[in-house]
Amino acid sequence: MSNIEEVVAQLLTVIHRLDQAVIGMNRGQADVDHAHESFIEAGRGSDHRLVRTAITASSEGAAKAGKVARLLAEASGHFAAYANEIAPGSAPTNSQATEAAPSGEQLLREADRAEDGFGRFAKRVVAKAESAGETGKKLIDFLNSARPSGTTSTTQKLPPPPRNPTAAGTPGDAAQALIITGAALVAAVLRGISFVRRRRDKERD
Amino acid sequence: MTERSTYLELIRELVKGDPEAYRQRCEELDEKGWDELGLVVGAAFFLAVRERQSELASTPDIIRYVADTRAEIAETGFDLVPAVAEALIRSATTGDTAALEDVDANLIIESEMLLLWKLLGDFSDEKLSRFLVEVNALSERWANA
Repeated sequence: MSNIEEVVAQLLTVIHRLDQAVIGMNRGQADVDHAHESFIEAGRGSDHRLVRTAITASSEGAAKAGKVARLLAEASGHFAAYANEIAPGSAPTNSQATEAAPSGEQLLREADRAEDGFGRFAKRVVAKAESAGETGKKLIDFLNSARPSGTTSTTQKLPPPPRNPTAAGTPGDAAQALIITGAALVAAVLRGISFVRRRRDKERD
Repeated sequence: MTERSTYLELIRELVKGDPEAYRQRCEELDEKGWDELGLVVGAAFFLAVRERQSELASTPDIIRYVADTRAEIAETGFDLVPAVAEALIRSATTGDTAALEDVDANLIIESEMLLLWKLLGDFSDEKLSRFLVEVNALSERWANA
């Protein structure tokens, strides 16, 4: 493998990890969003300082998680652009995906492919599911306790006030954990940049 | 054409949230056999995701949808494994099921059924009946493929 190929391979790894991190951050943001809604619901009718702090912290957490996801997506895009600069066409970019709008025929082919692929998978599930009946019957308990779809809990339970609103388990903490994860990824990216620079220096020497 | 009406009615009762009718349908299937549950539920899930395609167009959309569903079922004692539920929705869109090949088949069926409860929850009776006709036809195509 040539030096350039090695560098591109490293870049693609970093891009893949960044994309995975974006997915993780988006998932985290959705969780924090829900925690925020639950806090609003639970705190309805209360003007307690700790409840207000929890609601503010969860809102801030969701916003920060979203921002980290956007920054990581941007970083991934920049790395892809750089990879394409040193080895044209080596990394997929969003712009390439949007420019190449599929034709109607392509869309139909893709729909057929999806139907065939998922159909084969469903048949494998049938062959492998040894206790489909038990799985089906389990859902009786689900229906006994589920509300109609489209509604969420309206129970107004105030959790015992934490001694410290940013203690473990609060959305503020979840957001912090996400940001720490983001920082770890940025460190990995910086290591990637350093690797690329070292390679380029070596090539020049 | 194989008779699949019992499975189709089971899905209707799941979506309508009728535990007593669902329980009776389970007793009927205990006698007839549950062999094709995974196929019919899979077909319903595939078509339901296609029906909701505009809401599930991107990875963040899918993640939010799964998170919403988890929030709605939070007090039932049931839950979705986010990675599995998200992969199922993506796979129904692309047909690429590689991420699901090592997942337990019963977990797949349970996840699809919980998601179906959400995906079809706001269908009118008439729309649900039309949908189940399509599910029957797709199940037949898949069974004969």
